[in-house]
Amino acid sequence: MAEVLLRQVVKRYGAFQAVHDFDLDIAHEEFVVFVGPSGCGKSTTLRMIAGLEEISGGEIQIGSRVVNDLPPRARNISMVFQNYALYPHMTVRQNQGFGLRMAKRPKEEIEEKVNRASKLLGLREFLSRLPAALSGGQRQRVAMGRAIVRNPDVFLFDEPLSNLDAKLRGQMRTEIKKLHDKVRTTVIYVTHDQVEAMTLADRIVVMRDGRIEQVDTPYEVFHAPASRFVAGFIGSPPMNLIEARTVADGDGISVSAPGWPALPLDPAIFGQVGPDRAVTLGLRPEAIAPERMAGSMARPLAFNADITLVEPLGGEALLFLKMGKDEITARIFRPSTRLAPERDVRFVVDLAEMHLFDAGTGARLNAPRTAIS
Amino acid sequence: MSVAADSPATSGRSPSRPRRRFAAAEAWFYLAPGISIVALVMLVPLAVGISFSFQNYVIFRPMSRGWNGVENYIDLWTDRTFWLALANTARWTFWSVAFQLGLGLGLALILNKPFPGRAVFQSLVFLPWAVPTFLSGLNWQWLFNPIVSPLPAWLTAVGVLDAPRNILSDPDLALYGPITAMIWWGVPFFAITLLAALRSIPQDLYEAASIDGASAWQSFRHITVPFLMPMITITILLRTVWVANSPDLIFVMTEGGPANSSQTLPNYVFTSAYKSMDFGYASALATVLMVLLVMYSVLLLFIRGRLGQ
Ligand SMILES: Nc1ncnc2c1ncn2[C@@H]1O[C@H](COP(=O)(O)OP(=O)(O)O)[C@@H](O)[C@H]1O
Ligand SMILES: [Mg+2]
Repeated sequence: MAEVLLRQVVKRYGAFQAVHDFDLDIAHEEFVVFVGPSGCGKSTTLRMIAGLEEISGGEIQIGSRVVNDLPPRARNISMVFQNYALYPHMTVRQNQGFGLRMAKRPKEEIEEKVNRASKLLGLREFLSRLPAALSGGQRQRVAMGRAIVRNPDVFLFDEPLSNLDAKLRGQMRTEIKKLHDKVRTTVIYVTHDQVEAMTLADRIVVMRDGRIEQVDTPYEVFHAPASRFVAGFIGSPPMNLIEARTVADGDGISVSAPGWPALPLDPAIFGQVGPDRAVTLGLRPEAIAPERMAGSMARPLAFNADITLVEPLGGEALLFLKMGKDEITARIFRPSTRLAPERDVRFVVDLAEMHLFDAGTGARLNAPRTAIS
Repeated sequence: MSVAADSPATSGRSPSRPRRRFAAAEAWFYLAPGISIVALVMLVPLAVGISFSFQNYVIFRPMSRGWNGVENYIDLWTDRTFWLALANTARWTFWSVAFQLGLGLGLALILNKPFPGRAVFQSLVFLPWAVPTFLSGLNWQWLFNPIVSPLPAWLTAVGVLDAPRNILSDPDLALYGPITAMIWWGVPFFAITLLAALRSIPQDLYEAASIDGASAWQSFRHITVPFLMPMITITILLRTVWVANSPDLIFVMTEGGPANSSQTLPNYVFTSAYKSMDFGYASALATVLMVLLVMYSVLLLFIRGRLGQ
């Protein structure tokens, strides 16, 4: 059993605080992804778990053992580095067996474990090669093999795919996922790529400036972002975020944004939002479509807009609309006709997909969703 | 042009013979200035020096100058001072280089870790390198003099010497005076080169190793040493040739004495040439030293090549 617990973990570099009161419980065999923009403290947190950085405050437990003062070698973890950190003077076989050799395991055991990992990763033909004679993807595999062979309690990955080209990155992503199904261990995976986070994670930890913004399943993080930051970070193309105000409208409340018609709020969801409040309106590109192509929507509202630009992507297309001073993105799946810039097109937006954030704090204003259909 | 040039008809035909010969001549033509300079400043003096060793060439006796075959080498074979100087050269070079390597590596390892005042310490460590050898020879000569320096008394106190006397005037110990000076003077060279090599080792390899369970010693053994090995080999090679060839510290501190007991080959070459004025014999000594050093270098590079596989 290797759950990982972080309690009020703090990292300071002199006067600069890189990680603030980080609290997280990671379950046994869970795949957790830390995601956030560059410099938000993901690597620092991971390296504190690994024991490569000292912990300035708080406590880290691995498998119910406090590891704050244990060196990396005593934590029974493996780590895959961004640039692989393979030993350049050792063959693939020696690289993978290094940890076991350091632990003075018998030769046959090393041989057997290295062979097993190499088979799993398709490395068997390369065992006698030096890392310099491998491609990026193969090096990546060796780094993973080296991590697996030691049979650790926890796997740590620090941006393992960011040095690969896009196609290989997709392939390796799938492989990592499959690997986790085969080698069930706790995984903590750091990336700045929200697609990796969404596809790999059991739970995503969205970080910003050394703080946790949200910890949730990929589904929740996407459909109920806890803040404007998360809403803008997760999802590609990103959610449209529009500065707006709430106004009293008959017996209900609407959102008023320049260029938009009044967007009435569903009191069941936004019950506690009062009138005359500065808010940020969030609409995913998928929630907006030209009326003639729109699928069924729960709460459609029609409006007119100009299409200024079209980006056809084959199976889908991105439309850019001018609304007030904002540029809005709409994403159309399987566009049925050729799309072109056009004036005064009739669009619909699904108000059931509307997100609202406080304009000041960025906090989500929707009542938390209880049931997810 | 690309279409025509790439067609099999044209690319299949090789340039005509005279053209090819001209191309080769052209290359030599461009290389000529470089080759002539190398020949002029290196090969000619070398050849002249070696040719002296087959001559009877004593400045005092200009009339008897002439070729004498291997006579100088036969003299050398029976010259006890030559054999002593040869053994001393080996001792001098071995101890100097061994301690320079050990201490230089130690210093480099210390300087590779951050600590307060590292910048100051680093410049202090590299200071001896900036002191002219002549001056450091004089300094160490004084340091070994019990009248002006506490060093002999200290050496006595820790039991190295039986009484605070000058080791430079002890035939059994005299060579260790210049060896000490040479170590002091040459450590920075090793420290600088090895520190540069240490800094080129990617830091994340140590992180990977520590996660892989390697202890500090295992990291040193399995990462640092393999990375340093090429630099260590080349530095040892350079320093060996350099130290073996350098007479100045010995010349300043003991003049090869007392009674030739600290004579090394370069010093003996110098003494033969400028005290006995026997250029022929001095050239024979120098030629032997050169041949030995060339053999040593080839051997070391060969071993290095074998280890590298
Ligand atoms: N050794 C260090 N000294 C000072 N600041 C550091 C150090 N390492 C990282 N930082 C800072 O800590 C913050 C978090 O860095 P990091 O964890 O590497 O971010 P990322 O989320 O991109 O992995 C950054 O602002 C970075 O500049
Ligand atoms: Mg990072």
